[in-house]
Amino acid sequence: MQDTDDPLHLGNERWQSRLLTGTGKFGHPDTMLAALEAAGTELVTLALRRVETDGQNDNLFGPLQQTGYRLLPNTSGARTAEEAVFAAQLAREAMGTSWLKLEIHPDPRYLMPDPVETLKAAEQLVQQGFTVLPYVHADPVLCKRLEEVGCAAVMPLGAPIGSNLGLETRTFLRIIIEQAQVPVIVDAGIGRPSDAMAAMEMGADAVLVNTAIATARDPVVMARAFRDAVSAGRAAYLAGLAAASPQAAASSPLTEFLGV
Amino acid sequence: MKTEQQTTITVTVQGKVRYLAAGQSLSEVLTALGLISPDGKATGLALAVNQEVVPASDWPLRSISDGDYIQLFQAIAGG
Repeated sequence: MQDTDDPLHLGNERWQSRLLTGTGKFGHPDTMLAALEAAGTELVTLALRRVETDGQNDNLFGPLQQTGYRLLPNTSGARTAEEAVFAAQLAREAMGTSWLKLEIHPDPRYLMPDPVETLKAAEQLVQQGFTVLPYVHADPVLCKRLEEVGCAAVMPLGAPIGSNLGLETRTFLRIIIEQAQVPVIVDAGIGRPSDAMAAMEMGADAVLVNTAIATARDPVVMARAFRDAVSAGRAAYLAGLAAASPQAAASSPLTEFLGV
Repeated sequence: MKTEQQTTITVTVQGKVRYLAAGQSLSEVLTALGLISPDGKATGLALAVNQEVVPASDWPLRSISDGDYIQLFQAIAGG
């Protein structure tokens, strides 16, 4: 385990890992389980879909639950607040948890989260007793509004879902982190361990990674790399980054022993 | 009561219209359609009838009604 003296306080609980992991896009369930273990993750996301009548239904829920991971169902597929609330209620029943990654993205091309519907749904779900972690664009105003209605965290994007483009929203993530009174979990777009490390150095409380691990040539080794990057980034943040300067500042004393 | 049990009703299951004998429980219908295993285990599943979630404990107790819109969902991999 990592950061044992520096737990993440999220949803009235303490977490040792600051790397949340998605379960999608893995080539094989065994690879996914091995990668989750290598990531040292505690909280993993799952989705919900209608059961197919052709019998081709994978069963990840059992193995994940048996392994002891805490589940974070998402509302992927919901296009409105009403659909998201319905999906949340189904997810609570299916997975036995009231924790929820709220995501509402009606546009299939860029999967941009709908801020109006997300805020509306978050308000209702908090009132219904859910621990709501909303996936949003890196909008500092929206993040404050979501915090005010009782969300347990905010999950701003670094770049579009699955794009691996990194922290394209860096400037706004900084503002969100500076203002937030709830944990900030950078979600979506993180493509490299260095992106995750940069987010953590910036002061993000955690990151959520899926595609970058699942679609790596070796997902298990990549998961370990992300674990290390998150840990290093957190340590760097806590240590306090030294100031940057456009001019040189000598690290060695500039004495006159060379006679100049 | 016998005639009522033999009545056929119309329900929609997973988007498909079905004509089923009245009086069956949700569990019986889902098992007959191969959507849940006969042992009744429902891990990772959630059922909604007419957009309202029905807890798994109620599946054997609740009978289907004419016009019911039944949707069964399961947990799957996702980010």
